[in-house]
Amino acid sequence: MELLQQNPFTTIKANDLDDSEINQQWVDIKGTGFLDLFCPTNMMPQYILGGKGSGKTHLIRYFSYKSQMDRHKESPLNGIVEDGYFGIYFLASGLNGSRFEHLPIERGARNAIFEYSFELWFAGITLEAILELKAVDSSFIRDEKLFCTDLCKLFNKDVNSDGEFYTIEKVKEYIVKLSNSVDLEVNNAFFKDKLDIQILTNRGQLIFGIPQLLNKHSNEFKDVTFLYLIDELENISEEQQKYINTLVREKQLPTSFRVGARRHGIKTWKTLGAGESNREGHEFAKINLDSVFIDDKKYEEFAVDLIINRLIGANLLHKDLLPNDGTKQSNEARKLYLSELFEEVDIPKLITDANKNKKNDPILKSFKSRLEKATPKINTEEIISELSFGSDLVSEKVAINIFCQHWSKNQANLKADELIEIAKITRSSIQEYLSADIVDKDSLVYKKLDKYINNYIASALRGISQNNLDQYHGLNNLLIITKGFPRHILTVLRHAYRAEVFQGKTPFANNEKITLKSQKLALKQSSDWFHEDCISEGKLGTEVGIALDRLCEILRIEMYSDKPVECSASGFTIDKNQLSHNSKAILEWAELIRVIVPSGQPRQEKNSQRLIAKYQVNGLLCPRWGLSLARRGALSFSPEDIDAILDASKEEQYTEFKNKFQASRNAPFKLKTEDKTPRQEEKIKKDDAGNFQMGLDI
Amino acid sequence: MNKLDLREELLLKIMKLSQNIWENRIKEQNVEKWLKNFNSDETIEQCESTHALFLLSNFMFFGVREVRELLKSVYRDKVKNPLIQNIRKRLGDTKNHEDIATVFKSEIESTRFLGMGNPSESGNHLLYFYRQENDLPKKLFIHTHEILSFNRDNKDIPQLKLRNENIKRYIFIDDVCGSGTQAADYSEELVEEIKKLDPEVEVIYLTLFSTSHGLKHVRENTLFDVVDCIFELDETFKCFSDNSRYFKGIDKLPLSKEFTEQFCRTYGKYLTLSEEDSLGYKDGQMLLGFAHNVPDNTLPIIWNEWQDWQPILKRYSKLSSGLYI
Repeated sequence: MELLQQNPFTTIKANDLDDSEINQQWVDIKGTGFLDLFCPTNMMPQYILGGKGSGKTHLIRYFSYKSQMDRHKESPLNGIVEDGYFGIYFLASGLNGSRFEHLPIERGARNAIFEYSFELWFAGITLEAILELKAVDSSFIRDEKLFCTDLCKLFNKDVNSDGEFYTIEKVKEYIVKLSNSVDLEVNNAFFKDKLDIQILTNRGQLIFGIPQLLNKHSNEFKDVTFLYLIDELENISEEQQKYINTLVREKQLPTSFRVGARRHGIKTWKTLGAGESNREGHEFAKINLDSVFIDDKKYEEFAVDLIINRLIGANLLHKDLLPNDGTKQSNEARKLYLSELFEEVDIPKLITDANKNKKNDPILKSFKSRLEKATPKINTEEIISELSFGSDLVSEKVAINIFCQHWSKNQANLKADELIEIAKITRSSIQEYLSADIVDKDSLVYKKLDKYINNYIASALRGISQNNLDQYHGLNNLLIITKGFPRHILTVLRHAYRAEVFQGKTPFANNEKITLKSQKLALKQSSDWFHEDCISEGKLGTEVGIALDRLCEILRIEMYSDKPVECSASGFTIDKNQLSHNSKAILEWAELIRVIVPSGQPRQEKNSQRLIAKYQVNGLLCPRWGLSLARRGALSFSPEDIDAILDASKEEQYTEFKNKFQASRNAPFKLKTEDKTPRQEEKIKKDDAGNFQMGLDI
Repeated sequence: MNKLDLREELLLKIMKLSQNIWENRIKEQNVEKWLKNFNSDETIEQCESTHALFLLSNFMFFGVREVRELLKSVYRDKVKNPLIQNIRKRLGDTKNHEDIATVFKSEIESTRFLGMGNPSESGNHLLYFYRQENDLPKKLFIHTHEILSFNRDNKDIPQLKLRNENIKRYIFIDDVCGSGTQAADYSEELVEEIKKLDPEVEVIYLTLFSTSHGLKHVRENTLFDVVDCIFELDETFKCFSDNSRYFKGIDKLPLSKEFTEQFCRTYGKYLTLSEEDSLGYKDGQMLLGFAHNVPDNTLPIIWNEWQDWQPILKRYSKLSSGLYI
């Protein structure tokens, strides 16, 4: 059990980390790092937006005073002064704002109570933070009594006539008491005729007033920015978000805000009062964390550092063990070191070896069953015999592809018995290619292998083991699969670690490699987990789940078909303007929860000038459907077809489209039943005598 | 959709069970070793080891944490609450906490808990946890030999009597009641004597698990006043019964209940040298084990160590327990 508990990848949510772990596991990006993006001393408020697992909470908590104090253990106060900011972190949902939503009072009064309650809560947290600083240096406020007198003046009535609030503890106690009395009234609102609440402050008076007073009463805090770090804004209502937006708009120096939310969590940019909206660039700046890792190299470096950090944190890797010197070494060296911890395999050899002992050829067996459905009947046995290459399943897939492409292209002209001739030509061209001393880059076989190798390997692997999970082995693939999602890489490694322990190993220790088997199981579990997670997110989650299943089913048909059109297709292009309202909503939600990821900027179509958007299926979902990570090809869908895929209610249309699509990619294709015309005969002869081009465009 | 092959899928399930519920007791090499007991075949329908893996993936294991929770439940639901209900009834449905507490204290002090079987067996082993979890004083726990005593009368003739005549109830605790044989034997040897000496004394038999058949047998054939359990194992828990829960939905898999039963019976007969016990003591057909032991009612292919058979979980047998010291 002990080994399992040492799993360095168990914690995948920053909420589960304590303040010192926030620092220990902090990894910045190279170049323009998070510190530059976040710019904590900048007075311009920021909204930090990102999908689940994009690292928002870790980022925001890193700038909280608790993490600051942990980083500057020797001299916390000096450290904060040097940082130039004092971050106060809390969850937007911490006040349990939903309590206010259904209070049996009119809206204005309800909002006023919420705002007052929030003000008190905010003030309580801020004073608590100041008290923590006071505990390490009691003299940082010049005259505490005077500071408290000024604090009490922030209330609308004289709350300190007896002079009893002469310490920060006492003022805090008073504020907490006020806050509790509001809570008591709110919680019992349904059992009372009238709420007994007296509002003692104006909006923002405490929130902005306390930092101003600290500036005034502390030499150290003279130039320190007060940063309110509000996380998980998506968990409060639209009306309550308006209140936060208003604070952002009305902020007073030395205070600024950093607000974290999921991309779909911002319900409004409006403010209270006249209802004006905050505007990006004017009232706030926006950081989209999802786009930070769009750059492959940036993500790769970040992910490698993240893994190394976790391993060092768990004592599975000592800094001295790293090539060169711990933190100063190059990222390439770190990556190489990690790469060597993952078992890799020669896939073609794996396929050949696995197929050697098989009684039936899995690729040709299923192809044969399709050929048997051809009308009129064809000589299946002979065709299969021509296309058979023993244990070389990849060559068989090339053969099927070339054979089917010719058949499909000439389906109106070919007679059943002519297929044997095509199979023979196909065979000889592949044999010629395989036996040549020099690779003939002009040959069709080479071109097919060059473009469709991922498709062929995936099919071959599926033929021998029902899945192509071995195709995703190694660190490089892991980085591609999880690109843009730090949480995903931790999830995969968490599962890999557990699988290793089950195999009786001590993962990542003593240079032991993570086996192929563990990698495979980890990917399967992570992929399934992400899928389940997505389809339960938000009210459109279920519908996105249906759309995703359909989309991936089509991509999978393409990937494993006899005659794929797009190579390594795991994406699609569409004209968003042509979508129905319903489909558009599902597509947008799928994008927001990052089931699909935009691939570059939309491109303009030459003729129609329409903007065509391109999307990829999230990398972590690819192993679930056996899709390619190469992201080369993208299927282009018509508005009707994509509607059938996206709209859950269009089951019949989808089935019809799927059947049509499947038929277009797989044998049997049509055959001519009448005699050939002399012109067609001539064409085949000519092609046969030619350079085995068979009129194919690839 | 990408699927793992059936063996991988089953092994993954076993891994999750082991790491999350089975206290990480089983590793892959244990499974592989165990699977070597069985024949393997490329065709799943004929592959004993794949079927054995399927059985293991359905095994119910109760670790220390779960057993402790069950023991809490035994006391709370089968002892304390019924006693309180009875007290309230006797006191005119009173809701007075103090009155109830006073009588309850006296009742519990006149109760004695015992383990079923000899002191080295599961029943007695459980009493230690039972006492801890329910915060009960040590004096409430006795050995069976402390129930009765022999005194000689004035003619020097041995007289059997209850050692403590103030005790109102004896509660026997065990982990499993399978066939009910042990409880019936106890009843014959001990409960009948207690009842003869004082018919008013209550004798109660409580288990964590019991088969429906075992419960019925003990209720109908013994003098226990109360026979009860926390978790009743009906026919669906019998591995190869017509409505076995383990094989529900089997038609979606290339596996067969009949094939599994056939080889389990064959190996079981070899392991136990008995036709009747080939699928567990008195045809128990259980797929159940605890951190402290595996009942003999469980399929012998799981726990037996006869000759070169590799068990997946060891059973600390009554007859040969010395072997494992």
